[in-house]
Amino acid sequence: MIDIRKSEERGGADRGWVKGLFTFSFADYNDPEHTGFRSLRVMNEDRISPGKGFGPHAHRDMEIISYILQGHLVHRDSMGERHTMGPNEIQLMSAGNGIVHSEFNASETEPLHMMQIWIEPRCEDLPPSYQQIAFSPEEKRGRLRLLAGPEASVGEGAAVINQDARVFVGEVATGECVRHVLGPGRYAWVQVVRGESSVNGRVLGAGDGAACGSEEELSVVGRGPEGGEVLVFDLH
Amino acid sequence: MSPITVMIAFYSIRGSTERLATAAAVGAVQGRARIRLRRMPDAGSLETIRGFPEFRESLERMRKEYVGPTESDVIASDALVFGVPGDFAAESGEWKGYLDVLARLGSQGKLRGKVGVALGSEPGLAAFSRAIAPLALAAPRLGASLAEEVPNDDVARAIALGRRVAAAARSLIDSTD
Repeated sequence: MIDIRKSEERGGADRGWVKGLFTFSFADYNDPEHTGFRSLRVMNEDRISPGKGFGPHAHRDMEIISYILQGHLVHRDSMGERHTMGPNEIQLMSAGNGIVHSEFNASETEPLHMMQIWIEPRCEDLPPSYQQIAFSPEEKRGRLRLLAGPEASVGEGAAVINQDARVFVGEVATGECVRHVLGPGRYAWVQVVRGESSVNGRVLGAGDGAACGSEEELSVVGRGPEGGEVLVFDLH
Repeated sequence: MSPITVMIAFYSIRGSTERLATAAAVGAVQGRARIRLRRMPDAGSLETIRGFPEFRESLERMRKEYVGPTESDVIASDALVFGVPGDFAAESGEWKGYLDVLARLGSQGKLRGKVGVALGSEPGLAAFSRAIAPLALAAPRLGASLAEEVPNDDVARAIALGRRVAAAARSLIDSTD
């Protein structure tokens, strides 16, 4: 069974310097019909003006993934981490029992376009941590490249997430197909972050998401003039 | 568990008081409080930066990242933590206006039931404590035992302070319910 969350049905917020599109309830956008999917709680697409960003603020008990579509993000936190990240990188911040961080568009001239995803951790009060991993663009072309997973399932090339969840990114050219087998009792969320794709025959445009249950396998096919880029979440 | 808000307001040029204020904020979050982390605006504007070329990067970053505390921040908070530099002076441009706001709110009874505590280094800390004494903020005993518990780590002590402030504010709220 696949339920589609259309891009244009998402919530949103426009504060001038940041324009956000929210797949699930977030901040002042509250939709009881869309509060998350399995352990997935937040799926935000943000566009942040040059030089702007979120000043120091706190998080607790959340696994927070940032994925850049365009531009660069500068991150600073209470653990002393200070990093800049761009496309083809994953940042995973485990807020644990408490973290304070800021995040800004690193450029004074270029816009920043990014996804921010929150996943509930397997338990509360874990120690906070920060991971940032870069990969080459080729690693996601025509395949699903693992970005994050539980400790036992990832090597050096992926971030460790404190949840029974695996996160992949893939680019599929027009007509190209990538497959992902879901284990028994597993669910998936597929988010199209660029272009157009289909998931098990259901067509998705940029910004669309698909909640997948009772599917043994996902078949993601690139569509449209440029194919698509998807984030796939394999969830308990 | 009662939801509480802790405001941490600080002034820093070099970044050292910011580090303590951030640590106190982390402690408050560990104590399951919401936080508002605020930096006092520079009174000297760009002249301030020019006066401290060795700290220009951290100062410019802080000026960009933080907003100053407002009256509504105080009213919305159950506990106030002040991050005070060692050279604090009550008449300084960075603090005077805000201390005046606090004094007015205090005279209107709007600080009643709020926990207040300062962190930082001497002699600024003692001077700040004298400046806020008339506000009659609830001041739980935090300092001495913390110094014994975490003797040689300012950041760890600030985290513990934040945790205790959150607990003290929650205890005050629960006792008045």
